[in-house]
Amino acid sequence: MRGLNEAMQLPVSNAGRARELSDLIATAQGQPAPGKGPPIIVVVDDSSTIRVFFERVTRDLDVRLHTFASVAESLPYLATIQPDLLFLDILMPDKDGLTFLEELRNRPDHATTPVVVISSKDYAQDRALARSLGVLEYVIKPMSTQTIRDLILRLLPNSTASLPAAGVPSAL
Amino acid sequence: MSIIDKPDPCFLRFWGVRGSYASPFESHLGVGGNTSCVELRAGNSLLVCDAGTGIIPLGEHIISNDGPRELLVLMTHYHWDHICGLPFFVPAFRRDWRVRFFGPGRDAQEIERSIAAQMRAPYFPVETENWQADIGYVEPQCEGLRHGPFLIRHGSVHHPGVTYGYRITIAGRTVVYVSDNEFRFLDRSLANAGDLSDEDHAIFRSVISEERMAELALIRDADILIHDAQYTEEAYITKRGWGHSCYLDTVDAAIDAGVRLLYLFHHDPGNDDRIVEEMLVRARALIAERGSSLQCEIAREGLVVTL
Repeated sequence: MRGLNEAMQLPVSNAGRARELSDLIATAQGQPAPGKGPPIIVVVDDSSTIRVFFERVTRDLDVRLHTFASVAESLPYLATIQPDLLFLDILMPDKDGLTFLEELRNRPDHATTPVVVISSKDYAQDRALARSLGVLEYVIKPMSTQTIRDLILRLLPNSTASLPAAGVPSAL
Repeated sequence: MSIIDKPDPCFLRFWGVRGSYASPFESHLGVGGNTSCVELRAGNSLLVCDAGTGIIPLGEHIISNDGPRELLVLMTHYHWDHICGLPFFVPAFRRDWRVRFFGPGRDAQEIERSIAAQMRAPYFPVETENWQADIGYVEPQCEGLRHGPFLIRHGSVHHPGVTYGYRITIAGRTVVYVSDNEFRFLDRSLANAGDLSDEDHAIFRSVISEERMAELALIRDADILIHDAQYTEEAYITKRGWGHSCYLDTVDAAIDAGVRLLYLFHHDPGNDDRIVEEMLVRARALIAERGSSLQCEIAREGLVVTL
C-alpha cells in the first residue's frame, strides 16, 4: 500500500528541494537537446534507495540521469524535457504511476517517450495496462543491478561511451 | 471539525463485507454474503464506500427513509465485486436524488466510462444514460475531497490495476477503508529471488523498509481500519499474488501503524462463518502475543458502529 497524497509533502517539498529542482531544470535547459548529447534518463520513484541504485547503475555510463521522488516533483522537469528513457514506479504517494503515464501519453510531447515501469506489483492486469500505454518493459522489483544495466545498454546503445572494456564496473 | 461539532447521527454500517463474489449460503450468513459496501453517515451527509451487492439493500433502505437525498460513492476500483450492485441501486433511478461518484481515473470522464461499461449492451438492459437522478463524476483533486463534514484522501494500494484506499476524517475521527490490498508483497518476492547478489539483496532490504513505511502511511493512527483480510495462512500459500492479504499480515500492519480498532473485511467466499470466527480468535491471539492494545472485530453485514 502506498500512503496519502499528502505524504508527498513530507520529504521532498521543502524549499531547499524546490531550489534544487529549479536548478536542475535550468541546468537541463542549458544542456544539449536530447539526441545531441548523452542520452537523458529520468527515474521517478519515491524510494530513495532506488534512486541511489540508479545513480550507481549509471555511474559509468555516458548518460545524464535525473531522479525524482514523486510525480509532482517530476512534472516541471518533464514539462520542458523529453527524456530518452523514463523509469517509472507505480505505487507512489501522490499519484499512481500508470495514471500519470496515461496523462503523459495524452500530451503531444510525451506521446512516444520511451518508458520502463519498475514496480513490486507483479500482476498481469498492471502489465496489460502498461502495455496498452506503450511501455517498453515492465520490470518487477527486486531486480538485479545487471538487469537494469543490460536494459539501458539495450534501449540506449549510445550510453556505452565511458564503459570500461570489461563492461561491468567492479564498484557495482 | 472537532469532536464537539460531531453531527448527529454519526455512524458507519456494513452493507456488504464479502470479497470476490456474493455468497448467499446458509453457512456464510452469520458474517454476510453481500460484496463490499460500507455506509458512513454524519448528520445529513451520506458517504458510501464501494458498490458491491451490498449497495442494493442500502439503496432500498435510504429511499424509504426521510434522510438525505444526495450521496457520494467512493470506488476503490472497478472489479466486478465492487460495482455489480450499481445496476440495481434504486436512488440512481430517482429524479429527486443527487449521486456523485469518485474513483481511480485521470479525470471525471474516465471514472464515468469505468462505471458505465458494465451496463452497456450486451451485459445489461439499462444503461447509465437511463439513470434519472442528478448524476455526476468528481474530478481528481490532489488536496483531497470534501463531502459535507467528511474530508477524504486517497492512496494507491497493492492490488491488480489501479486501486485506491481511502482515509476519511469526520468529527476528529479517522476511518480508513482499504477493501483490497496485499501487504508485504516485496518481502516475499525478495525471499523468493534466488539470482540476486548479496549487494542487490542489501539494496532491496532497504527498499522493503521504505515500502513498509509507505504502506503503513495510509492507515497510520486510524481510529477505525476496515481492511482486506481475505486469506487464511494456508490459502495465502497458493494465492500470493492475487492482490489480497493474509489476515495475519493485516493484523500485523494494524499493530505497526498504531490503529485502534480493526475490522477484518473482504472475507473469502471459501471461508464460512466457522472459519472466519477462527480467524478472529487467531488474530486476537497474535495481538495478545505482540502486547498490543489493538481491538479486532469481524466486519459483519448489518453491523452499525458509532463514530
